[in-house]
Amino acid sequence: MKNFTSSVMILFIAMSSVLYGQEKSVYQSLSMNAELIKNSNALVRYEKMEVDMKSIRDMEMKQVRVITVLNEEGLDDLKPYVHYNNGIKVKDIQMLIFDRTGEEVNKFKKKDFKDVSAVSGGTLYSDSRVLYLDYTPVSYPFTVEFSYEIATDNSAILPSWSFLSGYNLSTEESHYIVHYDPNETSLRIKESRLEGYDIHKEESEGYLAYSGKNLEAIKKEDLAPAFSKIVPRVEVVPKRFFYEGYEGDVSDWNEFGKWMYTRILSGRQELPPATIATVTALVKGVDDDYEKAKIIYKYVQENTRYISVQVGIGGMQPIAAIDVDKVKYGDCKGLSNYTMALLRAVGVESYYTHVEAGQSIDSFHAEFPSLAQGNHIILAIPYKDEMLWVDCTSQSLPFNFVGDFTDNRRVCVIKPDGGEIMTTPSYLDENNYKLTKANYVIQDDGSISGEIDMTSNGIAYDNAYYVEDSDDEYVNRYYKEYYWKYMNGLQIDSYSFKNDKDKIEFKEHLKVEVRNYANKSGEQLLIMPNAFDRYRSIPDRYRSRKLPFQVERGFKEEDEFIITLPEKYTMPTLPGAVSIANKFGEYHLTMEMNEDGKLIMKRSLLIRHGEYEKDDYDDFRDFCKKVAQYDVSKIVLKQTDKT
Amino acid sequence: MKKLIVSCFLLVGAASVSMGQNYKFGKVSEEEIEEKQHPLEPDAAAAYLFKERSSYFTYYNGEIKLITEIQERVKIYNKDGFDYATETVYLRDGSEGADVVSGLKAVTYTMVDGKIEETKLEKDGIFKEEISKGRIKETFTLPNIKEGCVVEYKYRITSPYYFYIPEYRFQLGVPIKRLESSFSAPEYFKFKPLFKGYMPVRPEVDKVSSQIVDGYNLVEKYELDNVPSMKGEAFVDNIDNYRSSVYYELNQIEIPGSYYKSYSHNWNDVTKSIYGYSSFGDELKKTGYFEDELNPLIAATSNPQERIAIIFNFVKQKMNWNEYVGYGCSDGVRKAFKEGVGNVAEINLMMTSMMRFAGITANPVLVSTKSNGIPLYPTSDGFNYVICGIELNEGIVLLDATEKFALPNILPHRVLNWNGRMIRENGSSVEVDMTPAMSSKEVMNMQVKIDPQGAIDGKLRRQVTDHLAYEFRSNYFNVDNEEYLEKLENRYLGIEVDEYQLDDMENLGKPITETYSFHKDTGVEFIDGKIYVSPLFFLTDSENPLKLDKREFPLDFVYPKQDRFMINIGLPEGYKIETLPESAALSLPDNLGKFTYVLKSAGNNVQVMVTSEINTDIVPALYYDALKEYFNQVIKKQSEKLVLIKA
Repeated sequence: MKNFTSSVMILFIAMSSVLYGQEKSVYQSLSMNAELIKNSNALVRYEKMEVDMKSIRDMEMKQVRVITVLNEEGLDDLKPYVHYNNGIKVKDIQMLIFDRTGEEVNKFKKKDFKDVSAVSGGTLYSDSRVLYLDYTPVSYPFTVEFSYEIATDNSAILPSWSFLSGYNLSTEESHYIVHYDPNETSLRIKESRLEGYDIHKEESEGYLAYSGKNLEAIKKEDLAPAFSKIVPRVEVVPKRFFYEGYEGDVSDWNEFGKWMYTRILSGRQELPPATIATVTALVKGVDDDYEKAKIIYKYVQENTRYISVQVGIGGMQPIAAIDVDKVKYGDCKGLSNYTMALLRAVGVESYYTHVEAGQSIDSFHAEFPSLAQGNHIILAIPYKDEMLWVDCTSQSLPFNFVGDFTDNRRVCVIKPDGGEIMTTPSYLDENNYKLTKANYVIQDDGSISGEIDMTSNGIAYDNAYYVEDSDDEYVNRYYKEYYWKYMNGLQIDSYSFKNDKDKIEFKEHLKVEVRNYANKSGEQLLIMPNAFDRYRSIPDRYRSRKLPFQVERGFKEEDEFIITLPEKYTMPTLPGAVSIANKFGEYHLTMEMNEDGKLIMKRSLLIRHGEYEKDDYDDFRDFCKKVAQYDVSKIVLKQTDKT
Repeated sequence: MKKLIVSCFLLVGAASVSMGQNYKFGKVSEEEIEEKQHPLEPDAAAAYLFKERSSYFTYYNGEIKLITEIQERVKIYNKDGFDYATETVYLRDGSEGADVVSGLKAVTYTMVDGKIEETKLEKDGIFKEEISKGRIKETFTLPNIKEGCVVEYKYRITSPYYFYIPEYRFQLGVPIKRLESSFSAPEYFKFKPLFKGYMPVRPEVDKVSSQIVDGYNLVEKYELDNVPSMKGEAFVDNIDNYRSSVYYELNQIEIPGSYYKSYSHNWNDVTKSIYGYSSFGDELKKTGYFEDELNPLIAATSNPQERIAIIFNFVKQKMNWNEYVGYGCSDGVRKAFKEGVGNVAEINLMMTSMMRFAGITANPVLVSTKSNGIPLYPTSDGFNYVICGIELNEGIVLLDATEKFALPNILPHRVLNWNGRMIRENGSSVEVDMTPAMSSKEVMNMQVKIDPQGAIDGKLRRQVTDHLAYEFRSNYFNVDNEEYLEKLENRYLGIEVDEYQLDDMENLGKPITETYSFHKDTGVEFIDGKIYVSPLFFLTDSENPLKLDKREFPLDFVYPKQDRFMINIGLPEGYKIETLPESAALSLPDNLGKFTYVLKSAGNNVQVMVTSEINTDIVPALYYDALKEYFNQVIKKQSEKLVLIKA
């Protein structure tokens, strides 16, 4: 959505047409390596990407992929398409189909491919297009040879290479080759996780090649790191390159930043005098840069909206501030650049910042600059000794709070004198805090009614604050179908919210009733005292876990419930206090009667962020399971005799 | 002077709101910009203050063109309404020429220091792209959008596709204060209006002398005030089935003395015209391409039932569906047969003609898929799918060979949509109910033993039939055993499954049977020294799918279902029953469904028998409260514990 490099990233998936004319055994699917079939829906039998940088302004890429599809699920791995745009020309594309014995049974040429717009839902306009083949197989297994060839004059981004390209997909043989002119440029290379695989590298002047063999398929598992973080991968960038009319020569982030600043950003922050006058008036009498920046951020939030339009330099250059000022909309680049211009107009410095955004944390390589990293722009504002961060595409986030979209990751901050790798603020463990206080009454018939107050900070704030702007229907849905999904007879009598953007704290106050809450068994009433804050996400069990796992952020919850018990029942026997502490977190639960005869339930749960080996998985799951079980602890009330 | 029509649907007390408003382009009032929320729907993120469309014909240089003029004024109350500042127009560019947008004017109105400020749309806010061959998308987004602003735009579409009139939609996701629409066609073109939706809308019809033919134009006008918004809900088959709209279908062109062509206006015409399409009727007649392969197969028997089975299996096996719908062939049956790949029409028309070739009375049945909505009137455009129907003495058997796991009368869910239309060669046709007549059944037998430490061990046998079996096969045929077992274990709250056996996965005529043993460390709860047992263990339903207070649209259960669980619980040594939940029976009105729950103790065992039925596919919204309460009671009953104490 907020993808400023979408048209460039495309190069990754794309390549071109030398036919694989070697031994024919890869076309048949009667006999295949049993280890590669395990957990597989498809096998890449042979794959080669060949990048030919004739010069930094003339690059051709050819890819051929022979893939055997074992069943219908494996059809998704065929990927018989090439993305292109105004800067990429598809010279050739074709697909051949082979039956089980390796006999060619069908052939599709360029004219058989459909040519359609590849604009995603959130984008208003982009020149991104895709050529794809709509193929329906006749039987399984079958084998396909898909090949294409594309040309571009942009050499800033070379395709990266993962020797495995998806879950449940194995690779028999894979090659990645780059030819370049050593007099013109050199290559910078980033290798990740190649150890432990049959992957070889070959390098000589003007030539780089990797080849991999027999990589087994990986099965998807709960809480595992992102696929791109578990597979072997090679990224390559030319030191000197050409990009949409601009030449670059970059060997570190500092130079990269300098290039971005002078070539792509400079001269785009001009504003009309009227706007300068408006914002100057807004900050009149304010001296502190923090306060000034906050006022400007609010002005941007109230006066612009996010619209993705991918035009201009391959989706890399922001629309000039003066144009955003006119139409009052823009994408992440345009809005960030506009905000930067407004800040400059009131004397506050700020830096345009490349980031890889997404709920799953993805950091820039500290030592490996490239245009391929990053899919979003935020602003960094230096203030005293710290850095403030804002996302200009949001109309609702508080100032200096970026939420889980861009938190805790290395980003490239572009300063006039060069780029710098910095880390955005992290929200971890206790920072993501939710306090729930409830005061409720259990009626004789087992229904309950009461009031609840919740206070959220950090990512818990990020997860909750948006209900404030939602309509009544949505608010009801949020609580009934999502937040307290487990309660069937829930009735929301009233609600109110308080969003404190300065403290970054969200408060919810609700009055609720729950019919049939307690369970009647004969003359007994079975009650779960923890009505309003239950931990329910037990990760799936695996017969044998293969992948490591992670908790990216962690959180802490504290609860205090005051419960009035029904009158016609005897005092219950209360369960003993529970206290669990281990490396994954802590859990404490107590239930006591107070002097007024009310049941007081206190609970706290801390789940720490962390990265763990697969051997810890069962223990972690066990911890989650125990917490979930204690969260539904029951007490039994007996009817006093009926006399 | 326009007259007020549609007296049958005016909101009380709201009719006069729009009187006195000036809807001329550019005449946006201060009140409109200053309005903070919609007077009738305070939650609305945006509203159409005025929505006008008129479509009419022109004739110039021997060419007929359809002109559509649009003018809209939109109020944006808050950020969620910003999407309404962007308008998208879909255009055609094909053999007859291209649709052209002209006269685009668009302005945003905001209040600045008590004065109205206008910001005009400029060229940089207009985007045009080719989505795919023949399909163009033109989008424009207005500048200077803020909460509270009003936007207004108008444009004209000139189209050579005069025989295709885009649908008029009268009800949208946000309220409309004032709507004016008109459709005008020369008398020589006979269009039939097809109405849809909960809110009744009818036009005022007028005759006006025509500029382009010797005669008159028929003008149909719609004027509506305060149309409420309509949003989607969960379990709705397709919200567009309930929104009010009209679609004009061309039935006939008659230019006196020179030209006559009839399309469709009753079912016989529809049938005739569909048979007349070369991609349908001609394709259905072809037999030569399959005779050599089919003859030896059907020679084995002359029994019609057996022949039906042979042909159905042959087509399912040979043909692979390319996921294109439609009742017309695309590449033709011959090519499809040769390559083993075809669209819906190619596969099912091929099967129909094979049936006929083998002496079976088979006919195409036109269907509208769930996503396509419901065809309520005789129309050829309302359908988008075709299956094969065979009339036997026992009734009609429906066949769809696009899915490998389909069976006679077990059709893919996409076609289980109200009624289809069987069209016969002689031009007659008959409505066919697509609702599955038979309930799909799930039968579970479970033996479970509780040990004194609270662990449970047992065996389970589960059998599913009809649609449940179809779903199971479609979902799990390609999933490997271990992955399936992990899914099963996780679905059933972490039981550990062993000795798993699956029968008749590939034997489509039979129900699917799973048998396995299971173990769970903590299968019951200990409280105050007593054991609390959920009589259905991990099969307990604990969540009511219906949570909201009210419902406006019918609920789609897709097909009728019957569940039967029989559970035999072996009590732990040294314990006896303190409380045995009471048996119960519940039922829904009008035989829509029922639930029975019977518990019996016998020695050291407890037997639990549960049946639950939903006897229809679509449940009207008027039963929502009853249904919600029914589910509540079912869940409450299942949650009652069997309590054991030390003997």
